[in-house]
Amino acid sequence: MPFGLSLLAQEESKAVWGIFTAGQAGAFVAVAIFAILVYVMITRARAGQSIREIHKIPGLDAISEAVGRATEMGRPVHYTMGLPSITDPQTIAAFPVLGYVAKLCAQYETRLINTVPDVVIYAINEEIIRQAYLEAGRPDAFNPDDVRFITDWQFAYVAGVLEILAAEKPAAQILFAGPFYAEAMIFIEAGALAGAIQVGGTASTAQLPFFVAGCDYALIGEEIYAASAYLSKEPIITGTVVGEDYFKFLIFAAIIVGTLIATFATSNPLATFMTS
Amino acid sequence: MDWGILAGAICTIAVWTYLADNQNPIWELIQHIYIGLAYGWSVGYYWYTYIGPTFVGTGKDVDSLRTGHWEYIIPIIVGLLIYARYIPSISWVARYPLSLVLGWGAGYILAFNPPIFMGQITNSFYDLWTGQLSSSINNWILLLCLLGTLMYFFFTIRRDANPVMKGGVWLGRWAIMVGLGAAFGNTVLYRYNLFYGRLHYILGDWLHIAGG
Repeated sequence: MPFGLSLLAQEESKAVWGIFTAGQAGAFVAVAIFAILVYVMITRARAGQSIREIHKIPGLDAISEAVGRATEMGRPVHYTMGLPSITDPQTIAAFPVLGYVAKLCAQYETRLINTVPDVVIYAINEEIIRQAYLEAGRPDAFNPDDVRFITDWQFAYVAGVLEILAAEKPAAQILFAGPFYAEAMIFIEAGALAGAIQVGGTASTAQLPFFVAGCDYALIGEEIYAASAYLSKEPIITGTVVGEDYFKFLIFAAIIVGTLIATFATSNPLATFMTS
Repeated sequence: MDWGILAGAICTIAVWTYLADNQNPIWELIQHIYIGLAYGWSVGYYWYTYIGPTFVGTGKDVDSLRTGHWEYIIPIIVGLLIYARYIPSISWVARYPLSLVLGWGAGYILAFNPPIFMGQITNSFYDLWTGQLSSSINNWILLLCLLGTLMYFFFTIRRDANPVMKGGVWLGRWAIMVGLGAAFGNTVLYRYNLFYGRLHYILGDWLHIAGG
């Protein structure tokens, strides 16, 4: 883009009060509706009022099955989040699941190895696992050395994980929830070589096929967020997923209405508003 | 002889030895070198791009403590609080910077994700009768698969609640699997391309026996 046009583009996209950006009114209304729905559901969940229940996700049973298998075999469980980032929703969704797995491992006296390629996530994961061991009444069993930062280079991290999988031979590997990139299939293959039962879940579209093909159980797409709510039973997370479901219903309705308008009318005011 | 190409070729072959034995000494040596290099590079990278320029003031024309930007003291102190976790009596203090980072992460997601899905929704307003049979059927298939997939991801309605839901979820599951199958094929082809790239490097760039 020529320098002058580039300046014009910057001027146009300048946000009013630092919040309202031109061309995103529809997105603002959508987020406002979503926020209200989530707030109402969280408030109801906290007050113990009835909200819709989240139905059970089959892949979730596999997590306790995997930890149980590791316990019986006397071998560790390996947990990886792929290449997590604090700005990725999948990573946020992975935290309650990591806590759940850590608590199970603490209760069953099974060793949990968590490898991480991000320093911030490393510190957070260590706190989550420590807290889970504390809640399970076994703080003494927590070994900080089993939460391992390897490096933040993708394939160097992969090399480190491969070594751990080959040397420690975990009986279970949990790959949840990402984001995962090209390393996913390598982990799954190395996990299979180590003889581990593997439970995976991600919303990374390009890696989902490998999870479905390679893992014993796979949670796909948004199931990872619902899993997080189902396991934690936290009113905030549960209310968020229920609110999200209502919002999805609105999207469902918007697609039907928008399609009907697109079919029978010459212009589509709904599309215009949503992208206005 | 190009020593860089020789080193690259040796490293490639060393990594491939993993396929024969996943704990052989050549693989373990190259693996340790790789992790060590990556770790050392990261330390240098963070020093020269973050810590050095802003904290110590080594960068040119970069705001830093040395140029009087004392406000950087705040994030530096907050960052240093993470190390409190190594002092058992005050380890709880380390949770504050972590909470701050988590909160910032959640806020970032909320602020920058919505515009993406709005475009996705409006792009799904298909014209069900375009005047051409083939494209109209195509749009019908797209719409039904999309609605079925959405139904698959309703978590508060039981999947066997009614025939509409049951049928929608069934269609959604098939649509997802067909989509994943296509993506699987594409990615496997891409991985083959990567493999051919390495073969070309070894046989062509290094040994000069193939690939020109």
